[in-house]
Amino acid sequence: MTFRSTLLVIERELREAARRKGLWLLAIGMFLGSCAIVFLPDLLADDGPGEATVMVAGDDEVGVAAALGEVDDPVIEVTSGDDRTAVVDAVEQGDADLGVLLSGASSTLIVDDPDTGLVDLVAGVVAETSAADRLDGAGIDPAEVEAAFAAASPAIEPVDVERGDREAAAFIVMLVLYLLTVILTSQIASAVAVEKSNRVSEVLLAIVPPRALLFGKVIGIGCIGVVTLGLVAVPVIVDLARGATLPSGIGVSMLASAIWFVGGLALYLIVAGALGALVSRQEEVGALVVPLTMVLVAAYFATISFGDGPAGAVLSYIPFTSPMSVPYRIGVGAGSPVEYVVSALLLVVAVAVAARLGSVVFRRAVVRTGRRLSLRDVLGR
Amino acid sequence: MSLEVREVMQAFEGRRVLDGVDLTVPAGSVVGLLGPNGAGKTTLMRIVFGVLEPDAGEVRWDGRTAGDADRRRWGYMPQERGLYREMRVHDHLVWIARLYGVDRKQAADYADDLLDRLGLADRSRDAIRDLSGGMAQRVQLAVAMVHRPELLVLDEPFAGLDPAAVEFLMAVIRDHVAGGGHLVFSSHQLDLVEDLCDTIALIDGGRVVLEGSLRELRSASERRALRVDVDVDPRWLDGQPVGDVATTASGSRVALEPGAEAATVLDAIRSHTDVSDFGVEAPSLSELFRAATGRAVEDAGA
Repeated sequence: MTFRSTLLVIERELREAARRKGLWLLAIGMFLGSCAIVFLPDLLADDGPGEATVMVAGDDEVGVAAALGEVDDPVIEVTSGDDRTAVVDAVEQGDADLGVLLSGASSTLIVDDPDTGLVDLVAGVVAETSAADRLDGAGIDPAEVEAAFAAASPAIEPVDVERGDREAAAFIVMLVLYLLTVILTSQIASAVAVEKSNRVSEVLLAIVPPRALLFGKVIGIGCIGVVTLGLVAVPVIVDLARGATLPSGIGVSMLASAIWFVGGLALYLIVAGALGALVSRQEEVGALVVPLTMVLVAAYFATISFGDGPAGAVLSYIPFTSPMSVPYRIGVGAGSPVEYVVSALLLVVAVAVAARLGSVVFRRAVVRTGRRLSLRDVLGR
Repeated sequence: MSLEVREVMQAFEGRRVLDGVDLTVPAGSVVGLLGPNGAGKTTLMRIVFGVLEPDAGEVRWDGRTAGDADRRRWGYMPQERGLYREMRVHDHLVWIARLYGVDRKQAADYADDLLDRLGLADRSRDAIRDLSGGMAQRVQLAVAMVHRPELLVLDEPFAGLDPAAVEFLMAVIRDHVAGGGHLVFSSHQLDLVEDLCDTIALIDGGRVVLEGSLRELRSASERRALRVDVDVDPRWLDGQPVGDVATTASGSRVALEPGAEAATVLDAIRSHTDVSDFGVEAPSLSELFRAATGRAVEDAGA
């Protein structure tokens, strides 16, 4: 009967949760946030080659306009102007992004802002075109020169450019886990306190074992967390399916997050549920849950500040902080497999201990109304 | 089949709340568990339902120690609320019935039927928090009996009810008992429930101080009271074998000492004023309580 009762308690939690607007808002909010983070940079940054307009004036003997017309990123629309004034006007008015004045051997760029990629690009094209023309005049094959330059250019090798991306991704994953855990922890504590204060638990305890009542709630509310996390993961998975490459590490980080999230959530929910049974009025729940959420907040900020250092490794071995630190450390590649395995084992042990102790506290506390109980009151006997 | 409570003891933090309570509830009977606030009535009910494990003693059903399976055939309505306020009425009833082991379809049928009988059929889709206090109280009763229990235990069911609601609740109780069910209810308003129960257990300080058929207890008591329809001045009765004189709007009630002749007392009153209606009455429940404990119910609670 315990099993059947537990299922019924879970069923009720889920059904009633589906009716709560706040929960939908939370889930939808997180889903949209995730969509924004995954898809927006794509939409904003990589919308194909840009376009630019360049106005050329003067004697274009060496074919600068033609060379500019061949550039494909950005696609350059080349217009011609009569004289310097016309070019300056066009740039000032925004009709052209840039102007090129050619007069004999010298050339001038008329620009709005000298520090743009377009300026470098056009300056390069102009210089290359006129240099090629002069080399040609001196009897040297420009192609040979170009090859010589190309061979002499150093190869560019960026150092771990992804590091920044990975850290950002790990922060976001952590933030989602943190928010979900805090919200659900408070939710279960106040749900238990409400049941105790309005005596629903009394009706239920006559038919349902206390264990079923506590764990049904933990599993039910935990499912809400997992479903929400699933929603958050959907855009990432869709993005992957479209062939996107994530910053390396975030995929593993997310998978690890799922494991530590479930373990951490179970731990926090069991403890919060048992604590919720200690109070007699719902108003007292806040004071009781705050120490618990403070641990989580501290773990979050500690991880952000020095999660990749030795202190972060210590956090990974403490079951109440590892759900924050391990996903982060995996994300940025700071820890070792041994660390992760030990951390996971410790978390599992902690959940088992919490389950045992929590059900004792819950069973003894939930029937004692009248005043707020301390843990010593319930465990003392 | 009967419910028996045997020698139940319970203490909280060194304070003895139940001190060897015995109680028997036969089928087809209404047992009133009566006593002042703080007498231990609610604690006893919680022990009956296994919500609390007693320090000593046991609860028996059908001649053996009651187990979980037996308790699934009982229904309990705690004193206050005891409902998920955000749940819909019908959902709540079905869910509770399923917890009791009734299958989903049957549970829905039971709920429909019960809501019909309780006059709540048109509110079955509403959240409980949207119901009036009186309706919520009926839903609470419904939650206790949706699975068609054999034993129904109601903690202070009449507290805060208006006379119509009391009438209604009584009808439901009578139905339940007429069908062979057992019923226990508690109350601290002794005189209010006087006509409702055939068997009572007066409980005070964690002990049953008086138990049995109300009719027998009354006739067994040597105490009688003289009721007259006039205001009696206690000085008229100086030297007569009487106790307290209680005056109400409808007249006076003079407690007679054991063996006192009612006629002599009546004559003493009639020598002062005309009496058109009078009667000799068995003791009321609160008078029985006072006789058993030496104090008034109203004084006992604190």
